[in-house]
Amino acid sequence: MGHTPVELLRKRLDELDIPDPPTSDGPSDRRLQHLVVVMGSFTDARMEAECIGPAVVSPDVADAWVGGSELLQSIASDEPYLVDGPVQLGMQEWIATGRHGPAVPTDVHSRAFYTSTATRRGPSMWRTYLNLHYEPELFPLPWRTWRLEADAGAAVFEVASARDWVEFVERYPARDAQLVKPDWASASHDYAGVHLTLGAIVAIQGFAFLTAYGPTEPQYWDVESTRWLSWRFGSPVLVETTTAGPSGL
Amino acid sequence: MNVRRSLVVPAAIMLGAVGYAQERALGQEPGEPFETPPIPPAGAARAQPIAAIAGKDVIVCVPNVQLPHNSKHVPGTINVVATVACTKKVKSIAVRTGLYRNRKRVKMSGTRYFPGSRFGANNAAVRCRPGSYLGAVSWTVRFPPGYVPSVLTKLAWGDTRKLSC
Repeated sequence: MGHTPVELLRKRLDELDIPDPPTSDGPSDRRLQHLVVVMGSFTDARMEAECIGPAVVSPDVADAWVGGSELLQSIASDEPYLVDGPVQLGMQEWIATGRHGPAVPTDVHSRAFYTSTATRRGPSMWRTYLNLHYEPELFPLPWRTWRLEADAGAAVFEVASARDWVEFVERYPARDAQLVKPDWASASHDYAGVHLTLGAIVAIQGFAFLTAYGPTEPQYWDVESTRWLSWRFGSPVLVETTTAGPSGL
Repeated sequence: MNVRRSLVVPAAIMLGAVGYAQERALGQEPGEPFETPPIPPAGAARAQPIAAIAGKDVIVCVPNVQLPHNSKHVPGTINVVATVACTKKVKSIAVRTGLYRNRKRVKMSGTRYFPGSRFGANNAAVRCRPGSYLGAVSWTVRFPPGYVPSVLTKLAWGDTRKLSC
């Protein structure tokens, strides 16, 4: 059944804010797992199938709806930097899969380099994503988890809302066909990285926003992440090597 | 007792005869998701909801086999995501996803379990080659104590989509 863009956003929030929310007890945070499952289901294929017409919403409307999310409020009570930022420079993780080499690539100018923040219980949300989407073709083993500590002075653009995302794209626009997306190279002159919080990801995933340059390209970040535009880290520390795929949660 | 006959739910969410026959034909036990067929059969069951009842309470679970798509995280791969969403938290949801290219199964996922959840999901992916792609899901729901039936396993299919690389 088709939905208008706002209806689809409300459906997303209904799926996140279930009446009996997962608890945060136990070795891993069930709330984050639940969020990863729900957001991971909002692929471009699902957006295309379920949205009537272009998936364009107002950033202010998106932010207003997401601001009322009980799940995000619950997560923010324990891990506010995941939901609202700012990025924790000393707690970044990068996970290499079997597609990567044995070392951490430092040429972040030539390839996209994303980290996710270690959580209170340990693993980052990206590790939770890998556990939930383990698929040998996509993410072959082994997985090597590297801890990275960014320079204290590294400037990071914080995207904590749809409005922030629109501001970022309008400040660093790159036109691509009918859409506008970030010009990462241009942004790298001013910032070492761009941090997308859960509040922003829930608001923007799969949606386009109107700007002076046209509609923004829909994004699919899935988990709290920082895209680094320049290498501003000390020596990476290998904290874990995983050779067996997850069998469950 | 014929459990399914005792359910007071709309006809639209009763077990689909085609899917049930497929499961029986495959000789599978009802308690675990199974491998989806190597070749999609004619008249493959589309995603149909199921329901279990306890007194006046009804839990409805709905599968959704998404269209296969080019992976956003790993360019050069085709991924299909299947989800199961229930109206209330259930004892567990288990999901396996199959991916087909040109009517031949090219990937079968393992089983992923979601205990004490309303949602389950799994995916299957292959290196991209141009063709017609289709996803399928085999899924099992174990309902909370008191619900009838206590467990159901179903098979559902998505839509076919032509993809280039």
